[in-house]
Amino acid sequence: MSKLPALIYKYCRRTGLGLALLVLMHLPALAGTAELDARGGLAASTWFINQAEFQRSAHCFQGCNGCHAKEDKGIQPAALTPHPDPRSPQYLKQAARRAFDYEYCAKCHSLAVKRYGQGKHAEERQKQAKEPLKPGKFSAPTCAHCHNPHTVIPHQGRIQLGRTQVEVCGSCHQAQKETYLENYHGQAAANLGYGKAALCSDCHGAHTVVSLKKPEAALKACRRCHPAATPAFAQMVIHPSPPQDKDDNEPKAQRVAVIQALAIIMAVIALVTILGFYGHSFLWMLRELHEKIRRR
Amino acid sequence: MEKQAQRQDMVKRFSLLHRFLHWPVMLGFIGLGLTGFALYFSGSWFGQGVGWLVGGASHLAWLHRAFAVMTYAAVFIHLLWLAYYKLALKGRLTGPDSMCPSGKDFKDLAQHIKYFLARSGPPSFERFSYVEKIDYYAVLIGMHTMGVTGLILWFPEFFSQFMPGWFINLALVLHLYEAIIAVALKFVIHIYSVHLRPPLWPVQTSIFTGGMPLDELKHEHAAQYQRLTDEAGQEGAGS
Repeated sequence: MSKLPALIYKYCRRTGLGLALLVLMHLPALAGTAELDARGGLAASTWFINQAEFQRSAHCFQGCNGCHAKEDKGIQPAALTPHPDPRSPQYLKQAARRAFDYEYCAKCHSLAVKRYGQGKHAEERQKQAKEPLKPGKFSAPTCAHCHNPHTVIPHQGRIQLGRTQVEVCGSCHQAQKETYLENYHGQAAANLGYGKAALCSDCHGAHTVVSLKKPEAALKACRRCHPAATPAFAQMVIHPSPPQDKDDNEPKAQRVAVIQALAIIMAVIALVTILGFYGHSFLWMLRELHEKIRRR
Repeated sequence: MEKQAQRQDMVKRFSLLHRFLHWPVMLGFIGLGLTGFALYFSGSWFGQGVGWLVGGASHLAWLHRAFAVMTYAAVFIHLLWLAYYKLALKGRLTGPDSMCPSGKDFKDLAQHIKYFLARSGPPSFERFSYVEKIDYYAVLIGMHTMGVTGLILWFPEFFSQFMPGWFINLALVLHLYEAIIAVALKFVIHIYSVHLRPPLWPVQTSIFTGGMPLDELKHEHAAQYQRLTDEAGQEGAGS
């Protein structure tokens, strides 16, 4: 019995070390996940602007009138949603619409607006202006779809910006977000915070948003980080999601099919091997336990 | 005196080189499993935790490669030893004392399964049982296939000179599923067969000490024990 305190101490020390390690390993996961809300944008439009949030945003020095004043700022009043009567009980319940004239952003962000005009999003927007929106398709985004002007955070680091970017881009391009996070680039950059790995905008451009379906465009994007990339290198599938229009990207659809078939075959092989060996060991253990107990 | 008596009761199973090479393979394998799965499942608490412990994705990636080089170096040294053993020492690579798979292994497996179902006694294994042979070949072959797919993932620009880029995707699929098989077998089956088996609990130390006590050998490798006692008897009769 004299050994008991020493034993208890030894046991507690071991368990304590284990528990401490377990807590330490969980800490970053607990701290890291809460921050990713949709502060970048895409929150539902509302007349109510949280002034505490707005005062922390990059646009705080503009005040309301910096963008919303009707006089002498060059904004056409017709482009604005009429402001509801503040004395009406329905004041904050009226739906606000995204009717801001985003050309006005160019007053300060001329380069960004110019680049936006050269990208796929602007092209899609012009197309949608001519014909009605097809069901199941999103309306083409303008500035505030991605950058909520009232809450946009100034001076973000690359990884912080990138994690927000994955959420914002992913709110329309859900399949691309998922496949990006299964790819090495997404795992390193978004999940583990490795600044040298590519984010959405590193391949597809930030404001000049481009599709990389054409091999030459893809190769150009690869070579920004992989200077030695060959044309064959650019055939690597980054987003192995089924393409929306199959005829549009036939070779990729075939590659994705082969990759997924191989994954299914390997999964079956893994399952059969593991079950076989586990069954063998389990039966062995039962038999030897039985013999050991019987021998006593 | 007592120590000498104990030593005489031990039967040699592993040479000094093999006992040493087990260390880099063991430590390298654990490191590869930890860092590799932390990289692939980096969104999970496990990946976040291991990534945080070693200091980020670049450290994870480099540790993974360092462990891979260490583990493969051990396998390569073993291959060099095999060549030396065969060519310089004129050793035998087949027969009851070798790792060469034989018909007896399949008979042993069949009898072992009968033994699990209480239809027969335990099979009498030679120096290396079929379980140990599978453990050995799993590492020897697995390290080469993992090495090839791993090199493709390590140097994608170089390998895409010879193969289409989407083969890198295939290499990743193969690398991932083979890693799952390897970890599921080595971290569970190998641990079971050298630690958790009731006759061996808590640990079977022959890969670290190089020897196995005679009474354990009599139980675990009955055929080899029989062969050794027969040889000793013949020598005794001859002299």
